[in-house]
Amino acid sequence: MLCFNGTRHRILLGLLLPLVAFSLLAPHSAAAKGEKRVGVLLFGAEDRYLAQQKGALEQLAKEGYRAPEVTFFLENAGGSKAKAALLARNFAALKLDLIFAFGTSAALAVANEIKDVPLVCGAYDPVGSGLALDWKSSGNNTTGVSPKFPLAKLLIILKELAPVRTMGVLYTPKEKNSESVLRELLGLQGQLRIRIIPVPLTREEDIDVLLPEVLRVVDAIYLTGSGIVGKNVANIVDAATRAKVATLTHLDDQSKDGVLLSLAADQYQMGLLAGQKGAKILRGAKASALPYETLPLKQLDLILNLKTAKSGGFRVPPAFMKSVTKVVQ
Amino acid sequence: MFEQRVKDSISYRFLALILGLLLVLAAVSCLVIGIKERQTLKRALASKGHTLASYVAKLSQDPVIMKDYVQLDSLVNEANKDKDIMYAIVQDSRGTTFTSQFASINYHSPRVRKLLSDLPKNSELPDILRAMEDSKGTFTISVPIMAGADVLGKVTMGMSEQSINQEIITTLIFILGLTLVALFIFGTALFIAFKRIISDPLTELANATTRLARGDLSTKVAARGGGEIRVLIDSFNQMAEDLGARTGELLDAQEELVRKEKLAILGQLSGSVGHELRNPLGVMSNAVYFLNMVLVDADETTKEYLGIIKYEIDNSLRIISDLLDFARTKPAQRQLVTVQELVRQSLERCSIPDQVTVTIEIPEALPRLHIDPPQMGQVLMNLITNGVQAMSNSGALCIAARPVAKVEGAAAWSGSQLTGEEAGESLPESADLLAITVTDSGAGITSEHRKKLFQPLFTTKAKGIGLGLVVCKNLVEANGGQIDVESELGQGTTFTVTLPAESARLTPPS
Repeated sequence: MLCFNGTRHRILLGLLLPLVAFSLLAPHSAAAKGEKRVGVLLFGAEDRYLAQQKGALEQLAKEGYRAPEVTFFLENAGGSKAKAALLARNFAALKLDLIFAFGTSAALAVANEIKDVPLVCGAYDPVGSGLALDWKSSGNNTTGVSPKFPLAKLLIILKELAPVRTMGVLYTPKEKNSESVLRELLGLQGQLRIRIIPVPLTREEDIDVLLPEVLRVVDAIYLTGSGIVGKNVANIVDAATRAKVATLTHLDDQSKDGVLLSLAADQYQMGLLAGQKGAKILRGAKASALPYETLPLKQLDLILNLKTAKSGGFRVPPAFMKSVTKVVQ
Repeated sequence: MFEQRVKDSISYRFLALILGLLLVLAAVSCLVIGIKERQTLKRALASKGHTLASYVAKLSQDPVIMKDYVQLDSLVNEANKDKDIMYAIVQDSRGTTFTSQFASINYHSPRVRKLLSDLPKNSELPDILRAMEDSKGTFTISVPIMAGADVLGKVTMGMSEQSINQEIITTLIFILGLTLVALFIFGTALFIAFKRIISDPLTELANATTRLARGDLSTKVAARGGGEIRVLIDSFNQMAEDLGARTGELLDAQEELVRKEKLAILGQLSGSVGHELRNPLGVMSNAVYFLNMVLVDADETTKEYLGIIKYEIDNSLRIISDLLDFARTKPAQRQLVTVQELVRQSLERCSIPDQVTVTIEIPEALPRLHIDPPQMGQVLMNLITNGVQAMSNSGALCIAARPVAKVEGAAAWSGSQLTGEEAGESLPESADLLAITVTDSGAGITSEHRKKLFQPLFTTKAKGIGLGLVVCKNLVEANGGQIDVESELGQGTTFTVTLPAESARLTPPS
């Protein structure tokens, strides 16, 4: 226990107090001048994360939060959970006012490390992954947006394009977003009469080893948001197309890399929505008071990659083409 | 041929035997080590599989209860990262498999991929598992998933023994490699040691034996090492030495035998021929004497021819005399005589040309000789005549005498013919000898001729019959003496006759 008594101690206390007062008041002085510190962590370099980041930062700018009044700290974990955790620790030391984390693994890394700074997440299944207690209110320092929609709709559309009975799902164990997708798809097996075959990918070599075996027994392959899948979309699609196996996903950026069929939320729009939530927080709103949101179904894009369709010999009925909202040539 | 010799060599056989035994030993060691290693590795593999399966079973409790197939897939998929595991599945208590095909099977295992390639394209997980369980070198480990006392299900793992086999092969290759290196080093050292200790001496002995067999009696093997090899080398050298000595003796004996045979034949021939010729020559000599008496006034030519006839008759008589002397040497009638007297009488009987200078170097105080004067006179006369002829009747002739000590063993006495009064006496160790030398300044005698000088019928003269020196030798030896010759080409020749002197006390030879 510290005790301060005597003349010498009083002098020491007189010197220390102004220093302590200055250090405590300094951030508040910055806030008073409107200066904010915002961190942005992307789980990988995939287009969807970049689009979300772009939308969020543009929305903040629209609402008056732009450099130099706001200092942004932009980081990318390169698809590594370990690096995401390390960057989250770095953010904790930066005394930020707001953090954006795009990608479930990045959001979980920040949420586990930082409990006192508002966190706006871009995550597929915030409740299933443990980020939030409920979609309406997280019950903690997080809020966010999700590209999630009922995957049954995508599978129904797929069956209109190709008679699929067996579908492999490429996912990475312990990556919550891809596990959530798998769980949802497994739950749809009976309803849609499609047999789901989980294909766990824990390292990139698994693609070379497992994919040829998978392609022998499936009619379609679902690409989840797994980091390993994200880095190898072109290779996977190429192998599947050569085997006349359809590919589908719920991520719009993967359709640009060759996936045959996608039903996906516009990631830029999601970024704008996340930016709105961030601006509200910077204006004083509590994160827990802001619900996790998804884009309305009518805002989702049905994307068809015609190049892949031609390469794989998939015949696209004209009626189906009418429902396609985006075509990748 | 060379290869055959190498294969037949002791070194090759010995080394082949040792290396063969070591290789067999290495092979047996590898077999034993392989069996033990396999047991140990299989126990370790089973232990590892059991530990891993127990860990998965523990983590599987909640997912099995919750039927969280994704979580169970994640668990078995993690276990399948071990290269020794071919598959890992989680089943409930009724045997229903909860885990999916691509999570349950270790597709990274080469063994699994080989098995899958043999299966039909659309094989399901149960078919694949059955094929794995039926394959050789596979065993399964099952651990129950417990919740208190209740069994929820089980974790089953298929373990591959392939890595065990590979590890054993690696170990055996290492051991074999190490053994081969050790064998090479050991074999080389053994070969060098064996070569130096045994092979080289034996090869040298074999070569020496070959040389010996070809007649090189001077063959010797350098002594080296110790033990049996040294004994063998010493024995060989001793054998070679003995063989050389005995061969020399045999050759000498053979030479002596031949010489004696020749002498015997010559003696018989000379005796009969000499006897038959002596009478006619005597008649002819008498006739010449008569003619000389009656033809006192004959002209010079007649007298000259009569002289020639007389000379040739005398010469023939002398030859016949030599032949007879050679055929039968008379026993020496010894008496004391001075050297001076003996030399003087000999010189008087010789015809010395004027161009020959005769020098006599005989001290006054010499003891008298104990010899047969006529016989030794004949010897000296013969030596003087030979010397004069060797100088082509021109040069220097030196006759000398000196006392010498008796030679060891008194070999010269062994051949002496003693008279009755001398019987019972022999020359004592301290007896004196006198050496009489006749030295000419002629052309000398070659060593080749010197060896044959005392052999019968050997002569270098046109008119000689090769008996003079043989007779000399016989006579000298009959008087208990010895005759030797020394010569140097271009310098001259010295004959030395060693004879017993008067101080010698004669005893019968043993």
